[in-house]
Amino acid sequence: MSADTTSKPARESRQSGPVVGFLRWLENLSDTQYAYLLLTPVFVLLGIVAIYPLLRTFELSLYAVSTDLSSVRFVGLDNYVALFTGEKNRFLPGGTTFLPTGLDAANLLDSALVITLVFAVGSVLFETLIGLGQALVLDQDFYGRRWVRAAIIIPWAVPIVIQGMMFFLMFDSNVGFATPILADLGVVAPTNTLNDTVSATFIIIVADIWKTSAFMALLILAGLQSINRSLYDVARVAGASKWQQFRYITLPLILPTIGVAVLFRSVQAMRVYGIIDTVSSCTVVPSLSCMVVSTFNTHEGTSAAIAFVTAAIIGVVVMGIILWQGEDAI
Amino acid sequence: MTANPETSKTTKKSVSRRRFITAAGATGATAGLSGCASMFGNGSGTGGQVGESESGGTTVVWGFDATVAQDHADQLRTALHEKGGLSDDIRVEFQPGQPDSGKRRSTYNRLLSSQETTPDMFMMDNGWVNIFIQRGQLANLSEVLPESALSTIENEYFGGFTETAIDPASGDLFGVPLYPDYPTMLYRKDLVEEAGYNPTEENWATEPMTWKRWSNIAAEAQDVSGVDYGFTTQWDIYVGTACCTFNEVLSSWGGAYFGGRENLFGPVGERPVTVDSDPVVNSLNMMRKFVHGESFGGEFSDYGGGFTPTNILGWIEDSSLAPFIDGNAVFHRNWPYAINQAASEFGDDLGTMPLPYGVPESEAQFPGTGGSTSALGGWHITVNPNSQKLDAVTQVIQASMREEFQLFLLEIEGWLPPRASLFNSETAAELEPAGDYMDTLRVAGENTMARPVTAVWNNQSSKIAEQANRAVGQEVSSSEAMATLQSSLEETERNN
Repeated sequence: MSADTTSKPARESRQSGPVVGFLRWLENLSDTQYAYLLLTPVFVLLGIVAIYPLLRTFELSLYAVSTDLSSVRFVGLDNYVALFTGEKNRFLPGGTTFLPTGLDAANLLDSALVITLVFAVGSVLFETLIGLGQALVLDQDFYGRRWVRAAIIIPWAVPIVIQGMMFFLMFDSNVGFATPILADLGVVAPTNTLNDTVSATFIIIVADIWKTSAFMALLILAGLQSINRSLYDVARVAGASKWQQFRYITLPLILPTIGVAVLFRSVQAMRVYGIIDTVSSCTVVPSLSCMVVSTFNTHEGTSAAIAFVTAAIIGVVVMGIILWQGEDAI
Repeated sequence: MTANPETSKTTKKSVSRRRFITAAGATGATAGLSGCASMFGNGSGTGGQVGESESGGTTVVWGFDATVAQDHADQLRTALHEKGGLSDDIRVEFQPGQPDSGKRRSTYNRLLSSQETTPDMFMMDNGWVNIFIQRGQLANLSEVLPESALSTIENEYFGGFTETAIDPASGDLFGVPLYPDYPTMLYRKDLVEEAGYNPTEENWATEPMTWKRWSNIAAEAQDVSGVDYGFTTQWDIYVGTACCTFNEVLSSWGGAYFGGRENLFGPVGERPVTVDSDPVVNSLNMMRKFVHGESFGGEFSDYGGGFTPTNILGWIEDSSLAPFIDGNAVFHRNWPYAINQAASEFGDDLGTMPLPYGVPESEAQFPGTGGSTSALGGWHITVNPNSQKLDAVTQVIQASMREEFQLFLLEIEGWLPPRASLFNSETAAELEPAGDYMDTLRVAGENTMARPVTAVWNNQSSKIAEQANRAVGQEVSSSEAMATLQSSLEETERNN
């Protein structure tokens, strides 16, 4: 019993019965116990929508379908062993693999794990830098700031399919205008652009940066606006330059916010699928989610194993980011 | 305490734990009961498909083509009764499927895996039917349909097309052909005549020519007319390249994915993989000649070349049709639906011909290949084994098998009849514009090559399309691409 309940006598009533008993028990709970009671529905819902699917996915990953697709048998962890030894690569689209089969560029770019990491690091890095720049501009007082904020958020509001079609059409051989310009600069392949892994990956990263930098900017802007402005007054009086003000006041104070933003974006980036499917294809730009979707119809066990490993990799990345943030982590 | 009016007011406005829990519990219980109410009802609501129609008959739900179900559902329903002789107490509801064939397949897979009772019947791409058969997800029509209907299908329908609805192991029928689809070569008569050719006199409509002769015509006609492209087709990394365009070209050279026609549907793991062979490599080299003008040490020096854009590497059906419709191409390979569109644009200037060939059948390395080859597409009617209205479903299938109904489909949708005899009927010949091109379609229908759909085709098709695309895109040589494909196909043929 808590201090509350020991210091006050329990309420007494002459009424009895299960409902009355329950309500009496309820009213005698400590504040902490009452808080957990109110949170119980949330835990139950979370269990249903998050924990159960994860466990069910793991269960599915312990089975394999026969070659003729007519029967399913329990194989334990064989799907995981086969996935990491390359045995499952034959079920993946085109010549893609789960892990790289060599260290040359071609083998690395065939790997779903490598492509996913390249996409996640590339897109999140540039989105953070561009978002930070946008946030610093939006944090200033200038005429029309409200309209600029609205304009910056527009790409983030565009649905993925629309965004994908925009970039697809930009590089489409019938109506696109971007391929000749970028091919002259040596950035993308001049022909078969969207079927070239390097070019298509680059285009997909750019498309994601275009869309999601605004999300980073808004989060970082929230952090910027929480900084006490008098700190800058003090710094100016002390003769600090603009760079020194940024280096010693702004950056340390918004770093926790940037950390949270990077965390959210990294989780999203590791699950990339929609933009790949609309701009190019999973055969050309293999991501981990692509592999899950591509194998689901014919090899549920393999698909579930890849999904579970993807969840584990995301978990490891998230833990890494949280550890990196230290005490400032959420 | 009560003496202080402020305190009293505060106390009055606060919510006790008891009241909060009571209110939350009552709200939850009410909402829960409301949500579950339909589960305990008698099913008379509008939520589910019901077996009884408004007039007291039976309603059969048919998973159907999205566009047709939305635009012509009433006409189809009427035709089933008037032309198909369907009983008036059976009503057919057309349930639109996703336009994307692969997505529709996934949806039907989920429905059948969870043993849903509706739709009662499906319209399934002939490319997936075998996979559903292998999974035991379809009703065995050999046991459901009457003997008369089974013998009609066996004796009058295109055998090659019907074969894609038959279980190779048992020989039982699991789908009734609705309409076959096979491509032809569309061309601009005015442009080839300008280059000095006479398609009518030379019977281009029914007599296939060699790729060598055809390529020289295409190159010359492009030069003379000044249009952008001599030929447009599909060679993207997608299933259409594996099942169809590449399959057609390599088969016309006497090549095969799995050793010949008899191995198209298996047995998986026991059939040979034969893509790393001369006919297949030659077919890819020929495509490279058409696109890049390579002559491969003189082997293709007497072929026309360089008249096909590299754009084909990213084109599928509609994107390759667009430049032809715009008047920027001489030749174009596509399915019958493209004939309707092109005919409305060019009228009598549109010609069709069977696809050209590399070697005649007598010189083909693998059995059942060589000569003009059109990939076999098309759709079957299949039945949900969990349907509770199998008698009504059987009647709908028989109505859809009536010749009058099949001609109605040809007229309204351009869907080709699944029986050869209807190609020669007067009604078919009178239909505009398809009637003008029935001769070519009949020849193409007699020279089809089914896609090798087995339980592992899903894994194989993307690997085939990728290597075919890489080879024609000059990323690797044709022989390197086929050596890579050979080993990856052998991997997919292995047991799990």
